[in-house]
Amino acid sequence: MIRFLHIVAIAALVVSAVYVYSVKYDTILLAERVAKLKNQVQREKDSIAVLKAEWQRLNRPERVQALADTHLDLQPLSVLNIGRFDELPQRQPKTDEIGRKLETLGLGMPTSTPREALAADARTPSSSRSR
Amino acid sequence: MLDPTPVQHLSLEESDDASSTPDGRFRRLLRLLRDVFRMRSDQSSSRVLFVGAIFLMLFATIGTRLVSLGIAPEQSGERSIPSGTIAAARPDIVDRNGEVLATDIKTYSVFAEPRKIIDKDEATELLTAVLPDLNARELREKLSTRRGFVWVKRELTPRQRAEVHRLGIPGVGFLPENKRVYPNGPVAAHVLGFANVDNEGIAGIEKYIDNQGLKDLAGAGFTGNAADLKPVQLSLDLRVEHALREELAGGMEHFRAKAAAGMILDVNTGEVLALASLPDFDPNNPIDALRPDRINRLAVGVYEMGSTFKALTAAMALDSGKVNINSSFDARSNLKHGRFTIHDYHGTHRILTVPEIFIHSSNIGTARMALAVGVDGHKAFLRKLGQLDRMRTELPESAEPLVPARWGELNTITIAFGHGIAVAPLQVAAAEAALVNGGYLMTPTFLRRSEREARRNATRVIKPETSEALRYIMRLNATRGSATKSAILGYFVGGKTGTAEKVIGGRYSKNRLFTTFIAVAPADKPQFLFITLYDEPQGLPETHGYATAAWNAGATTGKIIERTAPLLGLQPRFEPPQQPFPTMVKLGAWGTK
Repeated sequence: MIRFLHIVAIAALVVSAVYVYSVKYDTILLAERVAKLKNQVQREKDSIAVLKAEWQRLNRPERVQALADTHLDLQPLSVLNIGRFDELPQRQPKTDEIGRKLETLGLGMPTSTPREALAADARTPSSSRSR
Repeated sequence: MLDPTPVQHLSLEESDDASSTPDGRFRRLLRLLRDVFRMRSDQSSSRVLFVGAIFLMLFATIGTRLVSLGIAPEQSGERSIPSGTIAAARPDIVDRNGEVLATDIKTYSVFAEPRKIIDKDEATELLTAVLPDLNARELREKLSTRRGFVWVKRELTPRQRAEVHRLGIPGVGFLPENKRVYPNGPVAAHVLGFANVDNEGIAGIEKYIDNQGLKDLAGAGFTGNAADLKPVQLSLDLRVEHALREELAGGMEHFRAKAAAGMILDVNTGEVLALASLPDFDPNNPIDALRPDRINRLAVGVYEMGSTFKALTAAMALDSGKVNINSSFDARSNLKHGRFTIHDYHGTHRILTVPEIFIHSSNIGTARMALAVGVDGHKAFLRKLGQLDRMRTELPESAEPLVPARWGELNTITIAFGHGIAVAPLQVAAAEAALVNGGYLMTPTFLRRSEREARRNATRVIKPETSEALRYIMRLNATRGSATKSAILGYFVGGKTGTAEKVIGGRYSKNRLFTTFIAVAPADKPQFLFITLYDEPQGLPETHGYATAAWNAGATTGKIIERTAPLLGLQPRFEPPQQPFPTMVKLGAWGTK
């Protein structure tokens, strides 16, 4: 009984030691990964900062203006180019423009298609001439 | 000596019932355990003493080891970098729209630990071969010291870093550092200032940030990472700043002036929207930033402002109550005081009302206005407007105005038209902003500020009616006086020219001029104040040889207004405002009919 207890205790000890070590190594591994990722994040942040600075450097008004002067056909804004909302014309009341035009041309009525004439002479004038 | 141990005692008992059965053995073990932990009064004192002695020995060993570790020089691989050596992070500086004006990037610096370098001559030779701009002798001396840490070179390029890395010298390593960059180059250089290689602010807003507590933070080691620091937002607008600088640079070249400067101020909040002073410098490479001709002429230079000062005199006279808008002054003959005679540049030789004095820029009339108020009143008014004391803004650079030590009647006469007192243009701009914004004097700021906040710290210096009168005469000057070149259609501009002769060798020089122009837009409800100045502009054929303010500073201000007003969000109006100056019309001021 005692021996069995001893064996159980030793086995439990070994198992728990193995478990603790495995947990510890896992932790170390994870901590290393965290450190690596943190490093990577920092590197990314640094390169973002560099890119931001570069973006601003390339977009500085001085350079953009020099490029615009050589490549674009723009003029400096004058006071007269600025419009206002109240200068816009009032919106017209909505009307059916096409329908009105048809009405004035007298085309509002349904028309009867000259079916027979079409069937008799379904040729374009040019093709008839060439014959 | 030891007392009889429990084990010996136990063995005596054991002899009585010597049994070798497992049960007996277990009981014996139990008894032994019980005896070990049993405290007996006759034995415990010596036992405690014994244990105490052992512990004393243990602690003594640990203590000695600690002391020896503390005294002994560092042997381990850990390097000791003096704190504060590495360039700390600084917060970004952004403009009012969030555009980056200054930011940090990471660079690498190479350092050496002289104690660990085996062959110092070889190390010097290799390092100077890769970094040719290093001084070999200086480096050799640095490496032969017994110090634990020396910088070899700061801020390497990635290529240099790779080359040094390839050398593989033991005791030479790299450290990441923060380097300050100003992506916009010289634009806004005078406001931003610059930082040194240790990323400490040396001038401008950079120094202001340090003085606001960043330095203490860095000293405590809290500023490793720029991401933790909140960006500092300025009141500047990068686009407006660029436009202003470019117009000034063009004008400076065109009029062959020695220097030019300009500023745009929001009169209701006191925010500086743009400030440029030419010649300027590149804060990325500030080698010539400290040359005397690169000063910020708006804040550090003090000048006799000439006729732009007349606006202050007119405001003083009108606000004192002794003069009203319809008062008239005799400008028929020159004003004599002692052995001095005051002339008019554009002589009219008649009796003038206050608006006429202003638009003809009559020295005689202005001097008489100031005399009507008196010397003490004049002094008190200028002090109230902050013209006699150093103006302090966020910029650490400032200048004390040059005020006459003994201020007599003659001084009042000349100061009335802007001679005999030298002030910083920033100061005058702040005062003129107060004259047109309804009478609130506020210190200009380079940081963002709301109108409410500005009003809270503002002091009322003149009555609102006086402010209206000033707006009225400035507008009149733009339509009928000397400021017509800046009167851009649609923005209802008002303005005042100022031409001062520079003092060369103790005398006023006729052909070395300092010209200024101050404009407000729109004059009926001012939002922005523009100030432009040229140092020694030259007359040109198209200016008919004139080098006075209207021809150069006035014209440039017109261009600046036309170009920046859309950026500033100023709406053009093509019909004149209804009743812009109701009080002036009611009083029947000159020019309203």
